[in-house]
Amino acid sequence: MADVAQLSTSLRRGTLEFCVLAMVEHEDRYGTEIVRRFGEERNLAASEGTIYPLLSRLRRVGWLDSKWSESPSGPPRRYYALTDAGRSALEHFRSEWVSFRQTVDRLVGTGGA
Amino acid sequence: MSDKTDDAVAEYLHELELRLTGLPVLQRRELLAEIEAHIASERAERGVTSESDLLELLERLGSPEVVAAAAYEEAGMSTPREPVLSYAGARAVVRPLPPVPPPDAPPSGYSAPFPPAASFDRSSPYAGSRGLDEPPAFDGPPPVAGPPFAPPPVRRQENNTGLRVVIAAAIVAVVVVLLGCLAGGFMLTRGSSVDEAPAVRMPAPTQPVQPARPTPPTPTRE
Repeated sequence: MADVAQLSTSLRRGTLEFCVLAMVEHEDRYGTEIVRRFGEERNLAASEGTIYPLLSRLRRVGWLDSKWSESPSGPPRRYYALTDAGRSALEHFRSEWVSFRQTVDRLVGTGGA
Repeated sequence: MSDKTDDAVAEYLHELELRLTGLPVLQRRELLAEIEAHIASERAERGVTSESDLLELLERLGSPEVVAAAAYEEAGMSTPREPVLSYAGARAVVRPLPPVPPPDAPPSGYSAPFPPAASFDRSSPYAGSRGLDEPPAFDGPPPVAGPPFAPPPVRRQENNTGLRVVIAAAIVAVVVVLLGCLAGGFMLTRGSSVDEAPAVRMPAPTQPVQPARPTPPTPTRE
């Protein structure tokens, strides 16, 4: 149960979506761009195709907005933008995450000096 | 080469679509369009031309099974094991789990107590289940089962005063029967205790019966 893959999956669940929100916080990005960005993060390593269902859910809950746009090179791109609800959700996560991380660091002994 | 890569993409998308049949149609179409656009933009913007490059691209995407599993999870649905299988397949996957616990000692221990508990439950609500199950099972208890009949009549008394006399008579009769049974029970217990003593003496006569074994020798008489 506690193998490495299972652990990374568990840690990713519940946090990855806020990484996505933060990624489009300041500028709109299209799906493949977001996916590529995650592909560069080894710790978040997940199959690229699994990001799209996540984007779909974030759009359905109203945290992301999307619109198709023509691309200068290639097929049309679907751009994602942060909604007001998504922005407040991201802010809420940030405050929660700091206290959560501090508690875990203290209990697990990963707080450092 | 382009034909082969196109075939690979078409095959990938087809595999994925088959596995997404459990999703709402709009979510399915949306995901397929996104994946298709992803592959197209990767090919156009990263110059993916060779078949090996394309296979690597698809590998980074993840197998159709992995992508579909993520889609079901994000949609709040359980993942069907087989693309075409309906929810019955999912249930079949879930069912194997219960059989696992039984092998353990605790479940077997629980299973044994249950039957008796059920029988107790049946015996407690006399008025209801008694007519159905109890009589054939127990011939002795009928006198004990008598009182249960009384309660329902009590409720009827509130409605019809005329029945009160009859019911009262029935109650008296039941009480009399019960007392008779109790008396009979005492008599039997006493009688049995008295009979036991003679029973001990009886073995003596039985011994003479053993001599009957010599009967086999009867052939000798013949």
